[in-house]
Amino acid sequence: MNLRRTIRSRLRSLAQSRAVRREIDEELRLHLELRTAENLAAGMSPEEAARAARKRFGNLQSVREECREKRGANLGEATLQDIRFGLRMLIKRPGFTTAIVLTFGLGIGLNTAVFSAVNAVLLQPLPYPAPEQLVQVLKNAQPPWEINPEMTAMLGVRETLAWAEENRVFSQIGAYEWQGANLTGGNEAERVDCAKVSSSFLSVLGVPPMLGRGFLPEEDRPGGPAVAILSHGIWQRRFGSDTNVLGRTITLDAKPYTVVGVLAPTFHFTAQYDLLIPLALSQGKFAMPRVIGRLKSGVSLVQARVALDTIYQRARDPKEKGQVVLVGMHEHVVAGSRLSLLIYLGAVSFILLIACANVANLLLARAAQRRKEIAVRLAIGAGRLRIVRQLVTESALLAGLGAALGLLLAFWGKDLLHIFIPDLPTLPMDARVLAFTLLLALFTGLLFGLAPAWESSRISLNEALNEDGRVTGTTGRRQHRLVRLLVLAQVGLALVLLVGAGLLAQTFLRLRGVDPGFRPDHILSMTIVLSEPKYPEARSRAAYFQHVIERLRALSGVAAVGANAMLPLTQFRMTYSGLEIEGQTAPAPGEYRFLRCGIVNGDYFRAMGIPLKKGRSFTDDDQAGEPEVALVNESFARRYFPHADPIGKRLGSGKDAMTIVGVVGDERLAVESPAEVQIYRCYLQAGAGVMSLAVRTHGDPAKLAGAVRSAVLSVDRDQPLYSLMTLDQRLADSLRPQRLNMLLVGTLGALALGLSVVGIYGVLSFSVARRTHEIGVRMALGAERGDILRLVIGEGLKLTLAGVCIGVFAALGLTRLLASLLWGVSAFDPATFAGVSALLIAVALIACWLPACRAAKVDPMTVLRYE
Amino acid sequence: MPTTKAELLQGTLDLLILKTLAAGPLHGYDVARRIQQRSDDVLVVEEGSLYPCLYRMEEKGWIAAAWGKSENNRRAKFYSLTRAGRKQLEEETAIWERVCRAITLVLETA
Repeated sequence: MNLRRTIRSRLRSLAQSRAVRREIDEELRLHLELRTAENLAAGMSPEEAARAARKRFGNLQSVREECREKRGANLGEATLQDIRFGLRMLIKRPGFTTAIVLTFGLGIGLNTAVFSAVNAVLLQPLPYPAPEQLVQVLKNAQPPWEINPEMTAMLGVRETLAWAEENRVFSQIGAYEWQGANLTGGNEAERVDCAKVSSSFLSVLGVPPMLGRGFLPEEDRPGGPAVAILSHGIWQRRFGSDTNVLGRTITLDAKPYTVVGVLAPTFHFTAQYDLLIPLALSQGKFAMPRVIGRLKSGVSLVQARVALDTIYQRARDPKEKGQVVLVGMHEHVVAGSRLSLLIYLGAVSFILLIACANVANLLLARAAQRRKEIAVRLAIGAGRLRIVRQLVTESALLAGLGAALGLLLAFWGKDLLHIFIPDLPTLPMDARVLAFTLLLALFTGLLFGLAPAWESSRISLNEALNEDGRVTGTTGRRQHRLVRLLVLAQVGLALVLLVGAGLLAQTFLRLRGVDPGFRPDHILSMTIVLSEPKYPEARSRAAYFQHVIERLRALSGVAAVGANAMLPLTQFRMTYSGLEIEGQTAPAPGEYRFLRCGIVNGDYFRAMGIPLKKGRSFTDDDQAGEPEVALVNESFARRYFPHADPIGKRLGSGKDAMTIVGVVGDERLAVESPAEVQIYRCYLQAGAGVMSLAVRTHGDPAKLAGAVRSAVLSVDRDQPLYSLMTLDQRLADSLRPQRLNMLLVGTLGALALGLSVVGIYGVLSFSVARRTHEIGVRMALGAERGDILRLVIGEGLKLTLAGVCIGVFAALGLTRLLASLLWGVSAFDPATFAGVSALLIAVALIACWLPACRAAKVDPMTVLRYE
Repeated sequence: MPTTKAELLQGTLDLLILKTLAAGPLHGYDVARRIQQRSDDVLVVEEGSLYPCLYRMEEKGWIAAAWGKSENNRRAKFYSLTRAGRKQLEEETAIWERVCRAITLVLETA
């Protein structure tokens, strides 16, 4: 209560400090007048009366001050005075001020920008009501299921929906599945991403459509009415935001759908979907939708998991293994980007710390120059606290200016981040981001302003006033120790960042250096998904692709054309499980043998540059109805026929058995995973609706894109080709996260290196200035230039080496956090550690050189004459 | 001018002010005069030092201040004892008496 009163009266005083002073003056004046009057009454002369009254009163001025102090009337004024004085000091030294504000601004700007990304991606709640109740139901299967990560993430929806009836943990449950489809009619045919969703889907999420309605239960049934809900994006783009779109018919995969709703622009699910269509699960048809649920209020994730798993364990196929895993929807969405973002945040916080150390160094050096000024102020009676307050006010001003600049930089930095990471959402500068910046500025301003301020207020008066501006004695030494500590920390932090950057760069370079088994240059690739209703038979599909391949082959500039249902670097995978291999024992029950299977057409191997190692490739004789043939890759041959010739061996059994006729080189489906055990079948014998084409060109493949597109569309303009791009582009895209990590952390590492070099340079310059006298004496006593150079560089080197040692230890502890982002390089890669340390030491040596030269140029005569 | 002055013991000014105000609200000048009169002119407050003391006690909430009219119709700031101030007065009086007794005891036995 007392505190509250004090604060209130202080606040009042701050606001009315002039009024308070007037009141005090009036009260004291009254006192003097009354005393004077009394003295007069006692028979004194007027002057005598007034003088006696004043004498009796004591020192009017100091009483007045004391009263104001007690009322806090001075506080506001002193602060204002501090600020005014501080600003004057800052303006008087524009270079110093600019250096500090820029350094602070850079650190704070980087942190604000990255935090705004963290805020937008990790901290923003999902745009659904009560989003914390939403969960993704996953099944965590044991190996050998891990061969196919997509499969493990999914769960039989029929099982789940059946459990839902039994369940007491979900208020609602829904399911969805991705499906690509060809949207035709109106403009050009277009490949769209559809979400096949259960009728409950939108109400589980709690987001009704903006126009129209969601799906009805009778529409979510096999043979139910074909209806669709448009996303806001496609509604704007393809339907011109027409509000009369409801009831219109659109054509998806040659099948008519009636539009019943349009989603709100804010609707966002795990991926960007163009359309929603009913899931309409039918018995027997293979489907593996993902399941989402909304927990009943009060039910925790753990309770729900246990309840669901109990049901699952009771109902599961005894051959199957695994357990139910529930993941919060938010977690599910952000899990992929969390680590990278947090690492970026960590990296920029290192930058801020390094920047702050530089600022603290500058402030310390500055304080050393101001020792005399401060000593004078102390000598004429300023309190130490008052001095500290003044200096802290100055640092706070600097931090404030830095924060303002930082916010500005962050606004630009956001756009820069968008260039680096195109799939970031918009980054709002909301209250949380601003609060973060403010806290950062306060924290850094205080932390790094307080130490120098405290140091300089501890000045020994005698020493400071007696010396002639040189920084010597115990104060100087103590201060110098602090500066060295800061530089040590800087070098350590920079080393950690550089090691991280080095490891990420190694990852990228190694991935780029991988031989994928095919030659990605000069290849144009694209995917065509034939709509089933229009091409129901294998023969019509084969004819379509035959035409496409012939037309492409006829284009000038095309060297070879091939197709594969499972083209490397695309999302498509084909897998055999349980295919018999001649001479191999069948896997134990409950175990599976997975084989990747490419289905190829045309001159696939020639187009891709995959060598035939043995036997023959497919020929035109390998038609449907002819004996089934297959090729295997070298990994297959090594794994299953290490000592025998695989050619002539049989795969499968009965009349569908295939004969191995050749062995081809390994191709990697993705750069980061080694080639898998794989077989190839011939398109005419196996068939597939989805094919990706590879067109090898003589010249720049990108220039042929237009011709290729029109050649494909000339066969059937309702079959869109999509993701038409060069294989090199796909390769670059698949390495984008690694490239991004390398670029971002590398840039930050370079920045850290630069900042710490400035720090080393600063501390050595300071040290040389401090020791000019000593150096002069040494030279007078016969030290050579080389000795002085060695002296200064030695000091810098010692600092750097100590910093590097600390950094190496810190990095050993921290790089393990990076491990999951690394590829082909260990988190403790000795070469990287050694290389980065060497780089840092080399750059530090350069930074030492200038002050060392300056020291060596000291003229002993001049220095000693100054004594 | 009194010829014998007693230096005020540290902290006793608070007690004197509180005691003086216990009789009723007074402005600063009257507080000084009362203390002097009541002590038969032995205790002379350096009048200026009274005011910081009054302000401090106001901050602590022992006394409250209000502007009013003085006897000669001038605007003056009147101080009065608050409930907290009354309690403080009792406590300080008790402490003072205890100290006095102790000192007296020492002086008598010596």
